[in-house]
Amino acid sequence: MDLEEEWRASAVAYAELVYRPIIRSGYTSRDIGSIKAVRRALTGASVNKAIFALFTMAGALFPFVIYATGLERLSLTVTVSLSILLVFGYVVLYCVQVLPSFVSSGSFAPLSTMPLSSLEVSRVAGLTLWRTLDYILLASLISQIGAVAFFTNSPAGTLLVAFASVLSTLLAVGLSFWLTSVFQRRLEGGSLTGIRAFFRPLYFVLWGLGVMSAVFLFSLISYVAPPLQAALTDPASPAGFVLSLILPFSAGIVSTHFQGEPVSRLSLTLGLAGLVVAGLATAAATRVTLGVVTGVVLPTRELSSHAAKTGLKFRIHGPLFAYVLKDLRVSSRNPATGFLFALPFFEIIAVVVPLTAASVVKMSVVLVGAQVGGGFALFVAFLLVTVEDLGVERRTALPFSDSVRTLSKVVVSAAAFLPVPVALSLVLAGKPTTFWGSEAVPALAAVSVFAACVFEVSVLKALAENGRGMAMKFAAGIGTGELLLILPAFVYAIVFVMSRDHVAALTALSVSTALELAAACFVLEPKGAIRRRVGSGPSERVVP
Amino acid sequence: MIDAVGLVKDYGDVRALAGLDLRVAPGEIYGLLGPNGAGKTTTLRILAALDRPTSGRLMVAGFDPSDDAIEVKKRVGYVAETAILYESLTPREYFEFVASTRRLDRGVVKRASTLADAFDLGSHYDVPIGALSLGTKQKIAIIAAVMHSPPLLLLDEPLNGLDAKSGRILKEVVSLHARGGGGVVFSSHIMEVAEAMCTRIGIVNEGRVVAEGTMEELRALSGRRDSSLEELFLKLTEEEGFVAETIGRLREDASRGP
Ligand SMILES: Nc1ncnc2c1ncn2[C@@H]1O[C@H](COP(=O)(O)OP(=O)(O)OP(=O)(O)O)[C@@H](O)[C@H]1O
Ligand SMILES: [Mg+2]
Repeated sequence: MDLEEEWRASAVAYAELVYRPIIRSGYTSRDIGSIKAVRRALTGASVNKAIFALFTMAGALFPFVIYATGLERLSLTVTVSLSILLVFGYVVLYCVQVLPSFVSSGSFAPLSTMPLSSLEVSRVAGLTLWRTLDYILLASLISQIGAVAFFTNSPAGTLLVAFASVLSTLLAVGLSFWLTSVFQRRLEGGSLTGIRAFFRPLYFVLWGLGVMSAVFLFSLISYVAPPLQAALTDPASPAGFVLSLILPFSAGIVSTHFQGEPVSRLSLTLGLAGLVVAGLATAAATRVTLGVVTGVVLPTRELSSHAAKTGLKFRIHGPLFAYVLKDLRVSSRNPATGFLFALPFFEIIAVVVPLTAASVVKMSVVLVGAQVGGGFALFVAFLLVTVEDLGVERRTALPFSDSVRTLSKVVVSAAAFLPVPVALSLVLAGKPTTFWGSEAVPALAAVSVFAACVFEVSVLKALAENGRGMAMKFAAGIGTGELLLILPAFVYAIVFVMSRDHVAALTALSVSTALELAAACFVLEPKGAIRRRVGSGPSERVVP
Repeated sequence: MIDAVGLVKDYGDVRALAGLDLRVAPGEIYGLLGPNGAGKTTTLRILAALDRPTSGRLMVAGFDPSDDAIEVKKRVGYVAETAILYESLTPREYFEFVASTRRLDRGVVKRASTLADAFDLGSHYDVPIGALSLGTKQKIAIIAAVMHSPPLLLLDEPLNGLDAKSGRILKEVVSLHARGGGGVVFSSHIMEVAEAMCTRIGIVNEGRVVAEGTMEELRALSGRRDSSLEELFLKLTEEEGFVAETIGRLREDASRGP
């Protein structure tokens, strides 16, 4: 096969990747059997990529905007570093979402039966990978190169940062690819434990990095930048020495040098060395990626030797509990959602760090903290529903009601949020506040998050019925949730501005939260039969 | 158990069912036969309350699936064409999930375990389902579908992927179920199986039941005493001439050599 043929073959493989999940989802309300449906799926995938590319671009340019406007006092070193770091996070986030279907065996099954050499097959797979990531990679590269060229005015500096940016994205792709495949192979290989399970925490951390950059690096920039700046200008300190050697920061140092600002000799040496190290690491990562790609396409099914015979025993729980347990198990084993279990840790950092920094806690800070944590919960709910889109729930003949399905997702997401109110309460207990009522906010926020998740999951399900694409679901689902999340805080702000009375504002907040809860209960079960369904009532088994 | 009149199902421009009638009584084993794309899977999905008919009247186990999908699902055991399972759960976890969501009592563990032993699943209980072979997945789907002893079994090509021994066991499960007063509808492409097991056979073509009855009645219908079900099937689906012609052409090609 020549390159042109391989490029055409990759188009087929790519269409397969995009269309297969839709077929598998089992949504039959629309005609999925016509060729138009394939084209629709491809258009949907392009829209998805474009939206995500826009996000990535925003992430890449955000630090530069801050730098140019002077909103925070950032040095160019930190600006470039943060930009590369944000893009790294975004690329990981995207990869972790899309690569599982890439890695699962079967996506390339038709190709592997053709009489092709393994080199040809992996080249086709590589091109398919490029088709999956093209917009995102191009958007991030172009925006970073453009920004650096604009601010440094130095061709050499721009070239070096371009090099660093390419390295960083390749590393992100390679790393997520490898970890995703480790995850997947564990399942397909038939073992849930073993040496590979060791890498799971690493995977979660990687995930966390992605979400960190997506959700709250924006809000944390003022906390991250000053210590980073201090460390990077003092390369003789241990932290400074190590950081200067690591990719995004070394690129920052090098670009500052080319901008014409003074950079110490040691810093520059470390920065350049860092780029060389990154280059070597990327070369290794790329080789591993290609190996994984080939392994995916030409799988060698390595089943773990099955265990000795055992008896079949299992426990029986209430339906909702069983459902939640299932959701937890399935999501912990799915590369796209396994991160869920590391979430509380990241949440606490995101919410508590800003609070501990202040000597007196203002009501607004508490409200914002709860909002940030709530954003995480919405994200979790989104992932849980997206994973379910693979369709077992829709196609299984088990008699569970819609409300149990919704409620289970909501319970898991809300539980992922629980560390936030707990941590908030602990911090509040140990600090002077401007208003005693702020102690009530965490609990109220938990209720509001619950309601927001109910609405989000319902919207997501309705959209899935209509076969909508991921970006659309993301925007509408998370958007609806955010709206409900913000509403009480918004009501608080309005009432407070009008009355200047904290107590009145808190009352308004409580009332709006209670209304949200009522609305959520109505959405869950319009006929008010929720307790009957959820509680473990009497067995309704039917004997023939 | 099943009372369907004039079922129609459209997928966009495709008419999968075009006025299908079906009646199944307790104790009956009803075989759905028909060419690929005839509408067997669509029919079974609608009976299992997984899809709504575009039009038509339908009662399954005393309920209308369009209004009371959950009540129908409680009374039905459905095995899909390709097993629908959570691939990342182990069989043990999956059975636990199914038994719990169906609110079954502890007795189910014994029942499931008997079946699992019969199917020789012993060494697979703690392996993720995704890693298991086609037939093993099918066995798991079957156990999950019958563990609540539903009055009605809906089996879509249930022998798919099963080895001879397991096929034999499944047939025993099905006839015991019918003898106990339960109803069974299953689709199959294996004529001998249908002939041996079914109390009644319906031949589906282009979304309609074109012929229905016991083996004897079908033979009488075709006017040939000694014909096999396969011959009957081809005649009734009007593919007899096509097959004869095609076979002739294939033989001609073959005689010319490679
Ligand atoms: N979701 C869908 N979208 C569009 N068309 C569909 C869909 N599901 C089924 N069809 C069409 O409906 C018709 C009946 O399909 P069905 O699966 O019921 O056939 P079948 O009798 O089970 O065939 P087989 O023996 O191959 O399993 C076919 O023409 C099929 O293409
Ligand atoms: Mg079928």
